[in-house]
Amino acid sequence: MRQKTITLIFFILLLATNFACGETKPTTNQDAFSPVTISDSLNREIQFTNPPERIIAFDSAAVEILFSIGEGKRIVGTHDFVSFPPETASIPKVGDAFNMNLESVIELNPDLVFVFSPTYIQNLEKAGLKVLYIESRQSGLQEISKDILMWGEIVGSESQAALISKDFEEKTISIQNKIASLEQNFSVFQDIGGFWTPGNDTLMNDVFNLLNLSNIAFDINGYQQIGVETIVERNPDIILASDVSVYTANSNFSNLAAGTNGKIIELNDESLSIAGPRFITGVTNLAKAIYPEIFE
Amino acid sequence: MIVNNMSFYDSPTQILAQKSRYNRIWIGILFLTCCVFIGICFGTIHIPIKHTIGILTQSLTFFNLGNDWTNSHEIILLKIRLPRVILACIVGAALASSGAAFQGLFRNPLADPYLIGVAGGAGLGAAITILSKITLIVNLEFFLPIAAFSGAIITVTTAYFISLKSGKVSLISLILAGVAISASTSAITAFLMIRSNPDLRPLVSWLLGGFQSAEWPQVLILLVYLIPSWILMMAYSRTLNTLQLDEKMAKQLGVNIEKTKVIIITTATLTTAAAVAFSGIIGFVGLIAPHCVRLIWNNDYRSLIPTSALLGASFMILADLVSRTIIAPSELPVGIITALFGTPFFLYLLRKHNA
Repeated sequence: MRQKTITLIFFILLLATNFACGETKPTTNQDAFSPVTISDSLNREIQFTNPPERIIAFDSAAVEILFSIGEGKRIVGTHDFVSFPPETASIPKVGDAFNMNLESVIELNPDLVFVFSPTYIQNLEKAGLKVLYIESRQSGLQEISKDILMWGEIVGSESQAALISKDFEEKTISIQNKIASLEQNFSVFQDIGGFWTPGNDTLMNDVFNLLNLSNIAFDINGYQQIGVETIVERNPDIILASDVSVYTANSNFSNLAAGTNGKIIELNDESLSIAGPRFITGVTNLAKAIYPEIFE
Repeated sequence: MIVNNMSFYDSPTQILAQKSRYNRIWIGILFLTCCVFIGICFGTIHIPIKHTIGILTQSLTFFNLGNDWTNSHEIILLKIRLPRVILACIVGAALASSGAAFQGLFRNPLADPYLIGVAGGAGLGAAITILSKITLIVNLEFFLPIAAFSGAIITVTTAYFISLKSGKVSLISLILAGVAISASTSAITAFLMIRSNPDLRPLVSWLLGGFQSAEWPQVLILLVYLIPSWILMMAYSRTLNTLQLDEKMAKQLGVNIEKTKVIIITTATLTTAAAVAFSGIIGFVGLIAPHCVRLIWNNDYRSLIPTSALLGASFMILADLVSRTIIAPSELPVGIITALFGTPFFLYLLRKHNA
């Protein structure tokens, strides 16, 4: 009898806390949720009639966007290489970026799994999970602000997302305005290691365009290993390298325009490899390094 | 005519054999010279032949042919393309001669310079260097060859001591130990790759080999290893011929087998490790070049080692030329080219001479 009473009390308490949670939700989401349909990278229509509460965000950019609009608490799982913001340290990891542990995913009982590659879509859907697949952004700097708005719609936090997205756009415009005063167009070469360089259809190329720089790898698609002869022949005014010693210690390179201008710049900015809200901060820092005279 | 001038003791067949041996080497040298010239004349950047010859004559002889070329063309030719061609040449020669020596020592047609663990160890050394944060402390360009070289030497030494029993090396144990250690080092490399966040492309292209960062000092360092190794290999080429009979028979013929093993293993390993340190793991050349020579000519190690080296060097220069021009301005790792373009050529030879 006594045991039953305790169970009953416990049950009531549980219900009460549930209710309490239910009541607090509308206060965190200032916007009323309106159902949305998102078109994924396979052109499938994914419908959201309720905002997902338990999201597995298998993508660094999605995690950063959700945290930036104050909805990071919805993330119940992510992958090993997600390290920003610091709060992600306590979120369970369900695989590295290329391998997903399906058992751990199902165990977390998510109501949305967001993936950046199509590999696991079928397995996840067979397990009865809702999957949103949007390819990670390889180009289109301006589109990042739209990604932020999309997440705002999905989780019903549109006004906050609009703020962050607007901030992103304003920072972009502010860079554009400062750059507009420049008359000269410099040529640039980026080495991410071993002479691998971003070509004309990459996010980095968009960054170069924004900063009024012309990429010497204009005839390369995606990331490729460029020939050393080509680097010397095209004689970049600015070299951005993950390891500057390759360029400063070698007279073949230090005699290039970038070397004589003192524009061999170290670039190892993680934010420039994740198409999230921090991306524009990375661009601003790069702009400061390249044009210290006009960016304070 | 010639026979009359020779000493009384040489039989005519011996003299003819010796003569054809030298002929083969001269043909090899001629072919290599052509390849070096082709390698220098073509590249991503078009430099007119007239300018190429002008720049080369000026730098080699201080003889001025009127310099109407641009400064960047001079840098490209003398400081980028020329060291690259020479490095490819030396690495090709190193891999092919080490491969020939290993095939002779192990009496195994599948032997290549990486057989006893050089590639696995070097790959692991490079993976640790490229993927770890060590580059924040040391200069990658300087440290990478050292790490690859040390990795290679450590794995081979381990395999060597495992196969050593009462002062004698069992060659079968050495192969098995080498293969086993390579498997575990490759596993660790794969583990590091799958567990690391940074971009893997630089490491993958290193693992497939290439000469992107060729410079004159590398050529000099390699020569320091190669020249003594080649002299030793040539000195032991007769012994390798005898070894083809049988270990016991060779011993009866007065061959010091244990000494031969140590010399060949040490020289071939050092040469290969030095080559791998600067150019990554370039497959196929070390295995196939000696077999091509065998199919065209014969199995005499006195000519097999030098002609394999010459053929390996020529082939490597051409493969590197393809790797830097086929998708210009981008490059492909040369290891892809050596296997892709070498296989049809080798299969053709195999079919023609075995038919």
